[in-house]
Amino acid sequence: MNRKAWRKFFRNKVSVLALAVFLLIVGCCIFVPMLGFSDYYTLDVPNHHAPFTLEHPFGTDHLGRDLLSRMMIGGRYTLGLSFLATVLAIFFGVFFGILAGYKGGKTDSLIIRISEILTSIPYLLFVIIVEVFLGFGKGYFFLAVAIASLPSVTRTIRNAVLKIRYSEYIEASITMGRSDAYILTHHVLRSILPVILLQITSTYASSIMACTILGYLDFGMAYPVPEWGRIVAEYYSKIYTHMSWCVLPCVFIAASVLSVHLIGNGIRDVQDIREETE
Amino acid sequence: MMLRYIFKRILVIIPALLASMLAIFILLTYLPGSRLGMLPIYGDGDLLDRFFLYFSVPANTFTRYLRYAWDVFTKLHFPSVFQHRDLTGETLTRAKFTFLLTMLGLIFMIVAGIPLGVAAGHKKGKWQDTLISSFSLVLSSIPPFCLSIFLALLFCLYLHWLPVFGIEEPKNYILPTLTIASGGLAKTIQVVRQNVIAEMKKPYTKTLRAKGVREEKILLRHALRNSLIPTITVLREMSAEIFMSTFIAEYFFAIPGIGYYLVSAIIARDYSVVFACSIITALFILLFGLLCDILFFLLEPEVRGKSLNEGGAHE
Repeated sequence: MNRKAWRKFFRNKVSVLALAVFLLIVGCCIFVPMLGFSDYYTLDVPNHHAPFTLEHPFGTDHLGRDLLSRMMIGGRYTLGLSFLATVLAIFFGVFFGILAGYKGGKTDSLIIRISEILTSIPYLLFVIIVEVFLGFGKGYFFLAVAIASLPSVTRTIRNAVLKIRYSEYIEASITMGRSDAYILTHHVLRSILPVILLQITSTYASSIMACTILGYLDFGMAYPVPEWGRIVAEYYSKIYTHMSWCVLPCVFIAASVLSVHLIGNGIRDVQDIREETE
Repeated sequence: MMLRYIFKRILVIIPALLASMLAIFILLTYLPGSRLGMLPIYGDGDLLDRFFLYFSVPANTFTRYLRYAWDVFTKLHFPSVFQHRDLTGETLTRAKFTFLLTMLGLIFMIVAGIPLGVAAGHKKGKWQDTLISSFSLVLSSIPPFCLSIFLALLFCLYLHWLPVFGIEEPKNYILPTLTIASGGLAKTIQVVRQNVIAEMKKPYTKTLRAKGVREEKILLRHALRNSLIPTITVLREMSAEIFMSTFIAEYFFAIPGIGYYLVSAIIARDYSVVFACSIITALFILLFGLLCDILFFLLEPEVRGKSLNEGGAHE
């Protein structure tokens, strides 16, 4: 992605809008809890089931907890933990993908076999393993999400590396006696950079999805801490009378995943255009 | 040729299944909190060894694993430490529901996804395309549990068309199928649309047009056929996600399948059930991969014994 591509990216209205929505959600999650609304665990019992007011912009739940604070704190956990999962998955995925694609042969088939086995194990299993070793309800489930998205990142990066592995300029570089480290950093990494960017957005979207699913199934954080998935699971039995309690977290989840998808689409479009002109 | 290819793929699957079984077994054996691991707390340190000796269980994990795997494969025997009974019947009954649901979801995502994708690709840039593309984008960003909540709210509570839960009637399966299909449907539409557009730009379609072949025939015979291969690849990549949404649908609509069993077993720390469910899921995912490979072979016979993963150039 050079400067020209970025300029093209910012000229696309949809991707700019998506970026703005995403940054707005992240900004709200970071800054709104600092504005002095009541805490996500403080019980304001006389005010339970409150409608939208100035004091409680999203109302309060059956225990009188402020729903705005709950949702924003939940967003911090959901978006933050899925970001950590994405960072881990991308880091190791790129490492193993390049290793498999560049080395080839036995290393390649070993990594592919292991990734196939990892795909076939349901990631709920990784959740219990990680949580049993590191502690329950402390948010370590992001490691399981990272393990779950590792195989697909690895395979995509490997396929991207394989596409350029036997092209002339890399052969020429090898013939000229360049070291592997030089070729990897100057040629391979540079040419698969758009693929990595796309993988970051798609992995982040699927990690948000996986984290909310785990929160919904009660494998997330320990109890008072809200997460978007947990909030939905806690309130969906009251959806008939208090629909906004359940709809708002769903809207937040869908909006953040959708904006990440659209940012990814914008990056892909820019990259396609660049490939056509060159 | 075809049979030889399938046979070869099955031969690859068996070691993969054994390896994932081994991985699950080792992980669950060394998990603190298993029933056997609790024993030494109440006695001297080598009580566990004496326990193994008494019940003539090999103390070596790998030997134990081999015995377990032998039991599972020859007698289809899933013993339960916690419930003091054989889990085979229960697991298989539940596996049937999961299999049925996943199949229904897959059929729906293909039957609905491909025509919508082709229509969007055919009408590129027009309002139909915008409508279908934005529908698929929104669908792909709604998590399955949110979707199931709103489907149940709309069709069961407001319209009273469908029952919320139950397994007796066919109409019980409509909402779970929609929930399962949502993610894959969105992805199928996107991939088919993108590839149909790319295929319609290629030189061979120009040749076909010059020959006087009708536009619909080019679209359905040639462009669609070539865009099915990437679709299958993408669906294969998504297999874990599809099974996860099956679990969510089972959990929400209270269908007694593997996913519901697995989630409740994890909460109850019944590791034998977790083990049985994980193995069945792993088997399903590997079989799904096999099915994709067979379809891939039927569409493009030149792959010749290669797996999709080894294809490299195909994305």
